Amino acid sequence: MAVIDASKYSQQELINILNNLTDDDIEITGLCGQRYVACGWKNQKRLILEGVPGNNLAAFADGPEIIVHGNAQEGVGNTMSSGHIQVHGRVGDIAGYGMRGGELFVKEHAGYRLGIHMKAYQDHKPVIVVGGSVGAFAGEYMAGGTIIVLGINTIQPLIGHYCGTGMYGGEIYLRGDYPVKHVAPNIEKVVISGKELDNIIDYLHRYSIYFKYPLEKILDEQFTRLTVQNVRPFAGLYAGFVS
Amino acid sequence: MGAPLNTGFQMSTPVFKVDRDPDRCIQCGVCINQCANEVHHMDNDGWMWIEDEKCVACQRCAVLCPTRAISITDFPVIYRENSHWGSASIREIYRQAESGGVLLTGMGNPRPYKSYFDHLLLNASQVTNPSIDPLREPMELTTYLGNKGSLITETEKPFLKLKVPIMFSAMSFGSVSLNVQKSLSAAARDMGTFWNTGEGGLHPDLKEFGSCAVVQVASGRFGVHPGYLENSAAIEIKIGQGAKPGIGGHLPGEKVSEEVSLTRMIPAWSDAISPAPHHDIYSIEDLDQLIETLKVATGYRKPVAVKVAAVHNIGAIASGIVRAGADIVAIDGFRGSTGAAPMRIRDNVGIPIEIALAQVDSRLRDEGIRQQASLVAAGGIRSSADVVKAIALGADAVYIASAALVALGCHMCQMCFTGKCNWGLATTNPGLSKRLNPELGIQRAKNLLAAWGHEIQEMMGGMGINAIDSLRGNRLMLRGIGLNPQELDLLGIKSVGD
Repeated sequence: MAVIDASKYSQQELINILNNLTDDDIEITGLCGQRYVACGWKNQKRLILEGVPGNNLAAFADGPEIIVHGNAQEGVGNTMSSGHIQVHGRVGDIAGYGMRGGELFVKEHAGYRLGIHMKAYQDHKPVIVVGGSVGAFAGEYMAGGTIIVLGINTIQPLIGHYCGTGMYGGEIYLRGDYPVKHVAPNIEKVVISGKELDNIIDYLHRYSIYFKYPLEKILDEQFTRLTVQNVRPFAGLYAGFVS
Repeated sequence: MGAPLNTGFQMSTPVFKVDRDPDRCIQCGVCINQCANEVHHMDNDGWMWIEDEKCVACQRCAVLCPTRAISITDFPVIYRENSHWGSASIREIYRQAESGGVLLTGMGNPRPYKSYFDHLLLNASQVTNPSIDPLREPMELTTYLGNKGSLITETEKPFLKLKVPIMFSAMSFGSVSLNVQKSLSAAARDMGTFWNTGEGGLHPDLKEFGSCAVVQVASGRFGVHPGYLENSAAIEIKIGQGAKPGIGGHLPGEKVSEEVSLTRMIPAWSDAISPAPHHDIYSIEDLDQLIETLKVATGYRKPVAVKVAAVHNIGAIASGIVRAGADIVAIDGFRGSTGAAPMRIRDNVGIPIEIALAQVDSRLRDEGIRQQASLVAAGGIRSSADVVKAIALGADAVYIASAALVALGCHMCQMCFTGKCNWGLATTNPGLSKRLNPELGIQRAKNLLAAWGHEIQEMMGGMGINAIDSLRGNRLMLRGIGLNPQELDLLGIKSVGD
């Protein structure tokens, strides 16, 4: 395993070093906001990050496994195709924007615009699990995939305003029987528990393992599932015209 | 706002009148087979009839009729003459009252706004300096696009090398057929220029044309993955489009066939909605970050372009884009085309490319950053003369899309959004798509570029210029005719006679 002390390097130097490393296992310590780590990586490398990775961690990535011991900044997993990211802290805005596949597990909270325009394709089924609460506009234009918000250790509402605006696919799960006053039109709310959680139980189980939080405590509440009523919400918007 | 309810009641007569001359018609049925709009019919007894209201005047039947029996004309206008309320305005309201819908249309803004290209005249050498004969003397059209500030710095920056200063503009697979992309990509490769994938990913059949492709990253991020970014000549971040500045895209589920779903990487028959903004770009700093992200993701081996629509304050916007690190700035004027756009947006938003170009070129020069990025002009380029004028106004190269489609057979019926393009261009229907033979398409697109290239050389030679570099931003070669002082000032040119 290669170990790099990022505190010695600027962002550009760190990117160059990472690009030239052939090791499959890499540990980076002392990260302090250096951006674009693992950006565009198309490989199965395993990264352990200590400190705070900067914006667009693993943007456009296809495959790497990344564990962050600390918080992450904006744009984690931006347009990610596949891979696995665990953040043992919180993440900033626009995490998982346009994400087509892979997994993002966040121990605590996520900022605004989480998982905007996530989409699924064939075997690619993106999933984001957030332990705390998330900011406004989560799941906007969502076309596929799964967002799970657990609301552990938070006094905030689980989601902010405009959750699922323009959504036309995918599923959002909120722990508890959540009042949907913040949710956009065209969203169907169902409260589920027990067997009905089979779709997501694996993700919940893994959250409990990754972040050492008892699964029973996660499951002691029901879940609110948000899906779309109409998968073609804009189909009737237009009238063709012979100009 | 309640959901619109289609009343299904037609108020107006058809727009076009289809006439079949019975003396010429041999009842061969070509018109019936060729019309995807189902205008022509024949019953079992051989009796033929026409549904005028379905006609879009694409001329397919009239052109293919072996006996020239079919002619399409405007349906005689029945409305009282009125210089304010034209028949189109009245029909638009009927259509909306009937459907409750946002009027949807295709191609570029057709309204009679002033075309500045048509008010620019070129110079030629007489006596005081010799003109150059391009048939006899070398004439350089090679154009490099990218950051040229790097020539005096330590690292060389990536660039695009064009043998002719014309590239094919973004048209996604889905908005156009695969045969259109096959034609344009191969023509671009053979002619030493580039084509653009549009926001829709790269079809597996076109992988070999990645090396001459500008691949687009737009707000929906459809089909964007590391392999797509890597297999390209350049990456273009699409912020806006001249036909619909400020709004997103919406490929209806009907057009997302199995094939289209392969490249967009979404399930077949689902809508493909591109949000209006990139939600990771809310500022110039954010744009800087996405540009850098793409450069890091591709190892700084690809130039990154940013495409915006020409809008008010385009000078300041372009300055911000260059400062954000773009190697190429593509500006799309308000005549730019589209596969589908709300008509009110297409017809009323944006500014002409000629003015935008002059403003951006001047602004970047004034700020001393013009060499840091190349300018590509798009939106309504109709001929080589438009190309020469655009370059003299400050462009490094131009993008063409409508002109390329016309070369492949487009008849400008503006109904691209229906997916029923009878010329096999703006459709993903396999039966219609095969009407464009890619072998022929490649040759026609190459012919167009070759012809324009020759004409550009002729015009340059006439001016006494033997390298396109000497024409770029050379506004002394332009004079304005029929323009007021302010317009001349904005274009940075003199009046004819001056």
